[in-house]
Order: sequence, then C-alpha cells, then structure tokens
Amino acid sequence: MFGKVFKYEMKAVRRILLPLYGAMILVALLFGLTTSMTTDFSGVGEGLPVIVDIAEIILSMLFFTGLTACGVITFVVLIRRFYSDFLGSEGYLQLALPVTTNVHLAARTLTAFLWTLLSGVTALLSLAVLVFIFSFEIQDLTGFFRSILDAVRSLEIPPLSMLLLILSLLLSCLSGIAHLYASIAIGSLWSGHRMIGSVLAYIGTGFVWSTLNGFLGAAFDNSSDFLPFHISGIPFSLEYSVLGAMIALALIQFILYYLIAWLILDKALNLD
Amino acid sequence: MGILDCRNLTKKYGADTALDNVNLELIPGRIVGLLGPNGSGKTTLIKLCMNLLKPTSGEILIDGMKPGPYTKSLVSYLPDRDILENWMNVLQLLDFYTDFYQDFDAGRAVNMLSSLGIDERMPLRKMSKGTREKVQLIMTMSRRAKVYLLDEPIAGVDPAARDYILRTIISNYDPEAMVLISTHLIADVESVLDEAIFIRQGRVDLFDSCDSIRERTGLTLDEYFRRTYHFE
Amino acid sequence: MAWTYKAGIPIYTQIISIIKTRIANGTYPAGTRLPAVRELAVDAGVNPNTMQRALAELERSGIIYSVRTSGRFVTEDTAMLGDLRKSLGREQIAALFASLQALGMTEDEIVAAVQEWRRAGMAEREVQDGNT
Repeated sequence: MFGKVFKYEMKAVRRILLPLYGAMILVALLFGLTTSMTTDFSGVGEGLPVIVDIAEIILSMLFFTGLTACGVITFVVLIRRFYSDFLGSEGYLQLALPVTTNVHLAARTLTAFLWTLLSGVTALLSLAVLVFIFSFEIQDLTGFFRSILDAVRSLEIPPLSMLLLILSLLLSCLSGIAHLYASIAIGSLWSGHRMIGSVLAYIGTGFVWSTLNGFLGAAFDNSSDFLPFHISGIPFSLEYSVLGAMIALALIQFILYYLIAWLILDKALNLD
Repeated sequence: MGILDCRNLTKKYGADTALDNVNLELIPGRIVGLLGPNGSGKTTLIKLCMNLLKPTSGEILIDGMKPGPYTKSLVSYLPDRDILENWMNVLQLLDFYTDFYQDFDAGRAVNMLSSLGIDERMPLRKMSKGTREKVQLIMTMSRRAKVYLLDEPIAGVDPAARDYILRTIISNYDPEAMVLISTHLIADVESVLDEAIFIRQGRVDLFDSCDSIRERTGLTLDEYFRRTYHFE
Repeated sequence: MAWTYKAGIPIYTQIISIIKTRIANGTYPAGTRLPAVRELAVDAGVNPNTMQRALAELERSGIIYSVRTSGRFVTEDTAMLGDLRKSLGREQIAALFASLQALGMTEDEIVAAVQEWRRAGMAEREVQDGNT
C-alpha cells in the first residue's frame, strides 16, 4: 500500500515540478550560450546582432528569478499537496483509502524529501551548466571536472567527514520537512485559524528546538559550534564527534516532529 | 449487530452539538434514507463513519469495528463535493481505484462510463461539473462494497442526471450490502428506500420502514417530512 | 421514467396494481416471461426489495408463476386472466361511481348518463359512416 500511495504522490507532484526543473536547466543552457556569445573572447562580439544582447539580458533575469522560483514553487507545491491531502478537498478521496495514517504521512515525507533534493540538484546543475558553457572556451570537459575535484581535494576534508556531513545535511532536510508537517498538523487544531496556527506552531517549535540546541551546545563545548540545523547545516567543525552529534540531533528532531504530525493526524483530525 | 452501528454517538464542536446520542443499527440488504433538513447532522454522521471526524463520545462501528483502514476497504463513500484529483483523466482514475480497492469492478465502471459517452482520455478538470459528478458516482457504485454512503448524491444536479443516479443505485443493488442515502430532497428518492431515518438538529426522530410510515400516516414520506419539519 | 406513486398506500401495493393492469391490457401477454426483478425495479424507480415483495404477492395469487432459473412468467390460465380483467374493470367502475357521486349524481343518474353517452357515441359514428 505504501508503494501505491507513494506512486500517486510522485505522479501528482512530478507533473508540475519536472517541467519546471527541465525549463530551469534549459534557461541555464540558453543563458550560458548567449553570455558566452556576447562576451568578447576572441573579438567576434562586434558582429553579433543586437537581439543576442537582448536575449542575454532576458535570459539572465529568467535564470536568477528561475533559481528562486524553483525553490519557492517546489516549497509551495509540496506544502499545498500535504495541506489539501489531509485538510482540504482531496482529503475526502485520500483519507477514504484503506490505508493507515502512517503510510499517508510516510509517503508524503518521502516524496517531499526526494523533490527537495532534486530541486537542489537542479539548482547545482543549472549553475554547473552555466559555468561549463561559459568556460566552453576551454573545450575540455574532463579538464573541467578534474579542476573541480582538485578544488574539493584541496580543502583536505577526510572522506568520512564528507560522508557524515552529507548524511547530516540529508537528515536536516528530512527533519525540516517533518517540522513543516508537524506545524501544519498543530495549526489544524485551531479551527478557523489554521494558517496562522501553522505559522505560529512552526515558529514556536523552531524556537524551542533552537533553544535546546543552544543549551546542548553549551553543555558539550564552549564554542558556539551548533547552529539551528535546518537553517544552515554548515558546521565549523568537521570532527567526527561533532558531526555524529549533529546527525543524532537531526534524527531525534525528525522522529519527534514526525511523531507529533502522526499523532495529530491520526487521533485528532477533523476534516473541514 | 448490524453492518453499521451507532451507540450513543455524540459529536460536539465546542458548544455546538452536531449529533446528540444517536443510536442506530443498519443491516445489509437495505437501502436506507438519512433524511433531514440542511445542517441536521447527516454529513456529520457519514464523516464519522469514514473516520474523517472523531466522535466526542459514544461509538460508531462498521461490521463491528471502529473506523480505520479495514472498514474503509468495506465502505464506498460518495461525498457531497467535488473531490477527484483533477489532473487525472478517467483511465488514470480507473487505475487508481483498481490499485487501492480490491472490490473495484473496473468492467462495470467502463460500461457505465461508455453508456454515458464519457471520453476516457479526457482530463477530469476539462469536464463539466455535472459530468464529473457522474464520474464520481460511477466510481463509487462500481465498488462491490458492504456499505455505500452517498452524501447528497442528487442535490445540485439536473433532473435527467438525477434519474440516472437513482437508476444506477437501483441497478447496482446488492442484497448483501447496505446503501445509506443522505438527502433533503425526499420526494425524489423515497420510492427507492426500504427504510428511513428522520434526523433533526443532531437527533434521530424516527427510524422505520417506509411502508409502515406511509401506512401509519397515510402520507408520502415527503409530505410527512414537510408537515413534521415545516418550520425549518 | 419512474412510475408515479400516491400517498397513503404502500408502494408495493401500487406496483401490484400496475403490473396487474399491464397483464390485463396485454403489455405483459399471457405465458410470456416478465423482465428481471432488477430491470422492473429500475423501470419502476423502486428498490428491488419492494419489487420483489410485489412479485411475491402476485405469485401467491397465481397471476404469475416462477420457473427456477428461468424467471417469472405470466399465467396462461384464461379463466384467471378473464377474472383479472373483470375485477380490474369493477375497480374502474367503482372509481367512476365514486367520482361522479362526489359531483352529486345518484347511482341511477350515473347509469342513465352512461347510456346517454353510449347512444350519443353510436349516433356520431353513424353520421360519420353516412358521410364516407
């Protein structure tokens, strides 16, 4: 059953987001092309028609607004989907399915997680495409990738740290999603003021957690190495113990928020 | 114990009582009308069956069990609003129902859809509201469920569609299933009903077979309803 | 679409009358098979339970009989059918008398009026035959 619910969630979301991400990459491509054309590398710039300049300007605007739009639209689509599935019209169809609350929640969480990652990948890919085309003069694809790898290696980050760092980022993403879902669930309890309730719940729970974090940080270490996880996962320290603690905290946070969301949706849901 | 039991079922919203100590036992093989004015608690009762609302006190049981994933596999629910995933087309909707409901009879659905001339490839959002309602009804009635809950299936629908809906309900009759039709349009449905529940302001006034109500009062159900609730 | 039903009388009783009338006027001829319960129910706009009840009553009275796995059939008993027509006819006459009496006519006046109506009808037909 989980597989089926997940399948339909993905279908419902991908019909909006896939074209969006595809368009973003396309914009990056075109932008890169026009920019590299209009930048005077080998003196050819003089002969190009004005329209290329205009196109470049338009595409540059599209590119930068596009990056933001991708993030914003992804957020809006995922939140709206969750909201309408549990608290809106679609709830009548979805919640009539012979499926447990946990399956519903897990499917949405996984979907949101994957698409959030994909939006990040799209953003990175867009930038990469841009840089790649712009430096097309280099005409050396392998050289390009090698130079990136060299740059990363020069930071001298041990591979295990890298792994743990990525893991903590992923868990932060998950716990961020669970945080949003739990806030929406809490907000739904305040009948007539669901939206405000959700926002307040989000801020409130976030605040509580940040405070807890701060105390923990003070307890573990004198330095303020701990930042609120789902705002910025970039640590100052790459020590395994620190990373390990961050991972544990993110995991606990995720479980806590998920439980809250599940409890409310299962026991206290009153649909419209 | 019937297929749908309400025991001292109460639902309150703060100071508002939507359902007040409802006791009912509905058995299979009957088409039952849940009849009452708007706001009398009909939709509330149905949503409680579907676990879309939680009782304030008392209980509601379907086939002896509290509402949950198992009971939802036994109950086919037609809400009083437009609920389909509008991005789907009919073929995808058929897949959806087949995927989730073991008792879904896709063949029956396809027959009904083609007899109405509905194009399976058309996205739902491009259909008129009336057509979408018919599609929703067809999906609901194509399940071979134990309980059918139809919330205002004929309100806001033209007379020809109304006929179609009632004929569909009759022709899909299953002696092992119970059909609960909630409506305030009593004249249109009364000839289809075996039994009637009269509900007002969250309380069940009467639950009896239609024929005995008619014989006792000498009135049609519609006339009886009008006389009893005329001040609403 | 659906047959129309009056107040005060159970629906299945009214269905029995309608089916009897249809048998008497040849809509369901003698010896032929009746449509299935479900079809009749859809036609009549009633619950199949109700239709079933009506058919069971009709079976009890012998007007229809059921053959296992084949369905229900109208009787071929001409005497019974003749009786049916007579009794339906008597019902109509009773109804006619009831409504005319409600207009204030006595039974004798009604009989006289019927004979007058018949005479007038025959005379009109003679005139028409004479013209053609």
